Amino acid sequence: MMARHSPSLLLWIAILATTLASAGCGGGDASKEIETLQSWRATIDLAAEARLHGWVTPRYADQLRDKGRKALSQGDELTSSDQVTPAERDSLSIAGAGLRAALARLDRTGP
Amino acid sequence: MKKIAEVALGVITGIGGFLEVGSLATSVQGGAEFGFQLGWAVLLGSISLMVLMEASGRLAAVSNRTLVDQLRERFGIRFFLLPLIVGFLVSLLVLSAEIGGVTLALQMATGIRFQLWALPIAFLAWLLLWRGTFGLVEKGASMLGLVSVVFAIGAAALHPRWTSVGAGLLPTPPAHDSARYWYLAVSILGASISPYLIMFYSSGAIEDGWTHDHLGINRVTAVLGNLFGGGLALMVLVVGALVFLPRHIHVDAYEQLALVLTPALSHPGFVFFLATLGITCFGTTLEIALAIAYLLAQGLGWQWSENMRPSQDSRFSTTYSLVILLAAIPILLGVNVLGLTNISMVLTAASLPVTVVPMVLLMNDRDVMGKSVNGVVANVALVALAVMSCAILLAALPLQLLGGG
Repeated sequence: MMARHSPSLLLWIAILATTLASAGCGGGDASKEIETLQSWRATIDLAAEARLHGWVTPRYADQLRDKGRKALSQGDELTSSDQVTPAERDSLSIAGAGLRAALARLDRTGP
Repeated sequence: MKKIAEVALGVITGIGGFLEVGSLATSVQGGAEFGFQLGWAVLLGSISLMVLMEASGRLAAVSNRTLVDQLRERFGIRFFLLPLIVGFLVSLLVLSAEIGGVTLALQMATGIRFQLWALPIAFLAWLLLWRGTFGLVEKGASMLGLVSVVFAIGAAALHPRWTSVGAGLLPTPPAHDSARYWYLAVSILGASISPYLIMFYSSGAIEDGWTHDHLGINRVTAVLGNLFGGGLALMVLVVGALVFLPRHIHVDAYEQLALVLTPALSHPGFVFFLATLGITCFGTTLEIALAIAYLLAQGLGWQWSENMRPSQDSRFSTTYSLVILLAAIPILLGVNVLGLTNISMVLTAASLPVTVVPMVLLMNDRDVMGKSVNGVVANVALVALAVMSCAILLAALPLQLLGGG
């Protein structure tokens, strides 16, 4: 019985896995990246505010700055790639500029 | 008077030991992305843990055997290999995430990279287990873990609309991103209902010499400890919802989490967050390392007790020594700790059936439980939990692929 059902079962599992994997991994890279850049801009803005009031240490702010820069460079990489449409490129550029400005504001809070 | 003190200590242990790397990360993520809407998952997780802890404590007190002993004896070694292997692997992943939590707290505090803290933390944990007793591990860590009450203070300072928080305790469909919503719900459940906690609690009952006389203490401790502990996890979600959601901050890295209490509590909020992350994760590191050693020792019939000298139960003490070292390796190699946390929480939730389903049978076995077999309410709760755990097992892989980010 098992042997008779095995091929169709395996096929079903393969189809399911492929569908899930393509749904989970494919497409939406640009919109996800835009969301990430916007989230990091908000994080860095909050960090700048916290740094300005002395709520967090300069050491910690440096770590967030590094993470923010890493997110920015990943965004820049996608923006300059041919995987995105012109409209997506524009949105990515705007989101990247927002994060760049937030990083500059954090830099201005000093060491 | 002695019983009241025991109950109070048990409840405090429950509160101080509730939060750890998984519940902190998943609750803040849930709040940041869906506001108070995932409050029901925190509540359900706490109630589920309450049911399982009460049952495993009752089993140990009545039969004078741990849950692991009973699983092996009642179902045989061939079946027992399943919970043994699954429990070992999943707990090892969670242990690694906990060590990662401690090292990240230290990185944020000192600026020294988290990888460099992995071995010193592993050594400190090993030393405490090697030299300490069960009471020190369980109660010492939980007492220090009370620092996590800062989240309740932070939530109160942010003045949430409590009616909205209450509304989140009832499940409602998400307005956006369903896969992510259910993925986070499963992660929150996994962070609350960990099989290692049940095994640790059951072993602790034997370490503390529980008998029939402790059934009342077991019930009150399980109910109140998890109620207050779950309340604290809910406050983490509330703080995440009030601070991160309006700013559209999604948590991609642990470093972002340390900002979550600053708008409410300024600098102390930052300091207490780091203390909460470091202390609770370190306490849980000790507990999981012991839980894995309990699992193997009880499963394979070795001598075991944290109250014995390591030379008296050498295989038990060698096990926790090795697993701590093993779990520190991914952190030493610089693994993404938040990713590891999320995956380990989903796998924890998916691993529940191998513990929960046999428990339904054990708790109704008169040969094991005598007069203390499950009543109707306990059975309904345990069966519902078993069904839910099977549904989570089926949904875990698709959710990881669709909503794992």
